[in-house]
Amino acid sequence: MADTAPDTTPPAATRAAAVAPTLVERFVASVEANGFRVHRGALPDIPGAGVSVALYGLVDSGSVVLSSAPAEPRANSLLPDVHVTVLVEDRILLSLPDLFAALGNGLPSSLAIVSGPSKSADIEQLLAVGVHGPKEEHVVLLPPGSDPGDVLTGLTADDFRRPVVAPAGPAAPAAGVGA
Amino acid sequence: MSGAAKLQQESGSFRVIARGKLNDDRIQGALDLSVSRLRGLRLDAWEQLDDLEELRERAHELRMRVVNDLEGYLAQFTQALEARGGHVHRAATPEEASAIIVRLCQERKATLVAKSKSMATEEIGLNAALEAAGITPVETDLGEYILQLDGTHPVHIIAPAIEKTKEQIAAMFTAIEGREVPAELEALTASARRQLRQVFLDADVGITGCNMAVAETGTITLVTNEGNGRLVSSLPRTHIAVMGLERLVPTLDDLSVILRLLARSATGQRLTSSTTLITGPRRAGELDGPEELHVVVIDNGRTNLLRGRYKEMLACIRCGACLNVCPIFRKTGGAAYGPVYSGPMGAVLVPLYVGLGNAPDLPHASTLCGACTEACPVKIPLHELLLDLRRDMVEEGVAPRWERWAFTAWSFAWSTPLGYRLSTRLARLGQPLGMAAGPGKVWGAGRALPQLARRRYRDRPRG
Repeated sequence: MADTAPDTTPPAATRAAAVAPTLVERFVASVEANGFRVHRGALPDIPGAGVSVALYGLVDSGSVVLSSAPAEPRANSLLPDVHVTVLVEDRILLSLPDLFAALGNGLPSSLAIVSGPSKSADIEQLLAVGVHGPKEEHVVLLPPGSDPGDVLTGLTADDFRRPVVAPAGPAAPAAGVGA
Repeated sequence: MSGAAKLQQESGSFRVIARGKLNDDRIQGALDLSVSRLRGLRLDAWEQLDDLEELRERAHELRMRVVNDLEGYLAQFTQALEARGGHVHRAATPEEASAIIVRLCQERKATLVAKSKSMATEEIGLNAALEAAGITPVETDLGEYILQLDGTHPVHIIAPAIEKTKEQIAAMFTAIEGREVPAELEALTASARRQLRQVFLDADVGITGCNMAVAETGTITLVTNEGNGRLVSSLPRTHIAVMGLERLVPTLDDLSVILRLLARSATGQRLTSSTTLITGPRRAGELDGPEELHVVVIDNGRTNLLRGRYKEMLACIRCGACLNVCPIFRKTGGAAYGPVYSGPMGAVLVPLYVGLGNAPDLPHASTLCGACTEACPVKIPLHELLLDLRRDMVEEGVAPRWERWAFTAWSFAWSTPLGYRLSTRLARLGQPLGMAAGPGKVWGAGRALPQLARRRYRDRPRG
């Protein structure tokens, strides 16, 4: 289904790099540290995977932010063994305070901040992955300005086109507003 | 006692349970491993925060703001949640809280309830109340599930089942599945996934706790690593969340302060795998999510804390950091403290919930070293509160009579030079005698006492 989408072609990559070189790369490192697998431009071909479109990505905590909506059922990111989420790079924010500032009071019925696959250390304190939810978490990054609908079939992304309040960029003013 | 969990504790029970744990090498090994691991993870995570102290100050300040105007923030929360189609119920006692939840389940003809980990539901003895009404509650947090099968209570608020071995768990799972489940991590995890997946899909009602609620938006927050909190609050048609009445922050921005501290202090993570903010039931057009959301707000002794300085304890965010640094908890584990709360936070909280006379051992389950206060992300002066509780025990006459007599005699003796001189002279005689029998022998067991000098300093020639 994603065969037509361009692979990580140099023009797209350089364009992204020119817009937000550090933030995107920091996001990638941060989610990878949490056990996500990162793809660029096209969905990985994984039969049975649940696919969602992320509202935002968070650098500080290495998270994708999923918002419930008619086109975004919760089960997509909960029940399948593999969850793939699509994230447009200009929706990457630095931190939780930035996320809440961007949301304002426009909270969905369910906002899931996902920071890695389901895991547990309840048996003899050994790390077990996939005890309830997805065993694998994947992120597909799309260049800034992309329509996630282009890599998805049958899903509309209208609910995810809210204005981005905190601009993703090296000079993001909201950086570290924990104060 | 049926229904409500027994937070009350008899005098001396701490010592009895603790001794059993101290004599069990395997439990000592499991405790050592878990508390050192969690403590190390917290310290590493705290080091990564360049605004740690500022965050802790902010967290303390914003939690105290809530504690100082609880009813105001609860009213704001209620209004915001009801505007989103949710319902709020208030319960003063564990029995009331359980009755509300049982009624909600019965009205919906629920027979199976999926639960995610919640200390508040442990506190009100919810499982027993549901079972008594013919409703089957299933704990879905892996550790809590294991304990439920075993019929025991959590020993650590973050790592509930640390005392169980793979072999013990495999035996339980084998009995349930009716086929051999090997005592290996992957097999056990897969088995739990199979058993619990069906519960998520079949449950009529999902019951969760609430890590923190936001007054301004009417949002409740669930913080889990297994993702079971999200499943329990997404799949069943009715979601009931049980929350202590103090678990509020004023705004979303305040929530970010607590979330940045909570997972780091509990497990050393930046955020847990799954942090879910729920604002009302499913909305028009959504394909899943609960049709109804009920939040049961419990008091159960919390408002006892509002007078005086103990109200600082209501700032607690239940991260468990104080447990992992406590020299007492590290050796005894949680069971000695009672069925729900343990460690320094439990030792402060439980006597205040149930009255000092109903938990007389707990204020003494501390060396007053202050490690808990240092580890507390919201800066609760835990060891000072424990000392205050001991003072209250004496003032309220809860302390044993011999203890009061001993201290009265001591303060009388040391208020005159003659009495002081006599007492130090007697000490040389008294130490060997006093340690040979009676309370001195009990106290002295396992302690290396300093040798008293043959001649007192004050008797030495001056110059």
